[in-house]
Amino acid sequence: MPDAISIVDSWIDAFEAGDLNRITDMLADNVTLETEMLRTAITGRNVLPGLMRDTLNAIESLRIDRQKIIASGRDVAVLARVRARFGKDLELYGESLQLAGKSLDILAALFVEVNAEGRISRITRVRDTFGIIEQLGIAPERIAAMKEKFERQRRAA
Amino acid sequence: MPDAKATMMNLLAAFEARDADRVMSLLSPDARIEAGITRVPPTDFDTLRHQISETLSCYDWIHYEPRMLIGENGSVAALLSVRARFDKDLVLFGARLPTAGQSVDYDVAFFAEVDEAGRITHFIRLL
Repeated sequence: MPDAISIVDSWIDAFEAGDLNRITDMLADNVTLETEMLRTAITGRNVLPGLMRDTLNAIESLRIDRQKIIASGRDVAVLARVRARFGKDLELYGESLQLAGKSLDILAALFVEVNAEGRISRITRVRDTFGIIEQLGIAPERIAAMKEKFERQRRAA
Repeated sequence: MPDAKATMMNLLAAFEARDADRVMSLLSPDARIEAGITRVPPTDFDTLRHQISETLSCYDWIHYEPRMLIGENGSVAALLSVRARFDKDLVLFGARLPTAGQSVDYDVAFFAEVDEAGRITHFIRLL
């Protein structure tokens, strides 16, 4: 039985380090990612680097404090306080977000399944959406526009 | 050893029944509630009972679909799909939101700590 808690803990460390190779190396080939923002699940390890690269590049510093880690078998839930500071603006699905110099301090939850080979096979993320809207000053209509563009791209892929 | 998963399932059933008294019976009198939308949760039991009762009375129905339920000792985490329909406007912090007749469908995460008596001492909601 793989140690699911240490695997998830190392994966979060990789995010803090902004290490995209390490983030993707720990994923199963057929990993699925679901988020609170999207109706469409993202499937496949090869898809994720393209989605995460620009966001990781825009972040100047990232701290993820694990407040609770609850595990049962190969399932792990993490409640974390996420503090990020953006060093650059971010272009996401045609929306230019003025994030340079802004900071974010929110709670986020991750629900993760680890497969028998010790790779992460399913991730579901739920974040404090109100906190993001309030702290980054992103209007809900812009979030809806990005969501729509993303869903359209995924359907076309 | 408390069965935190059973307490969480009872809490969801109480929300679905829109039964504020049943919800309150699952909370320890000194329970800490963090609901995400406000940084300052209610600190006294009566205020909390009033808020929960007012909120639940605005729903026509609520349904929780557990997608993951992870329990360990006195801790539990639940990933849930929520579908609900309002039959009244929701009043939050004095502001009336035009929710009457509206339906919602979203994901939510609940984390809870449960004491030896099976009551929730700390509850966090993220959406």
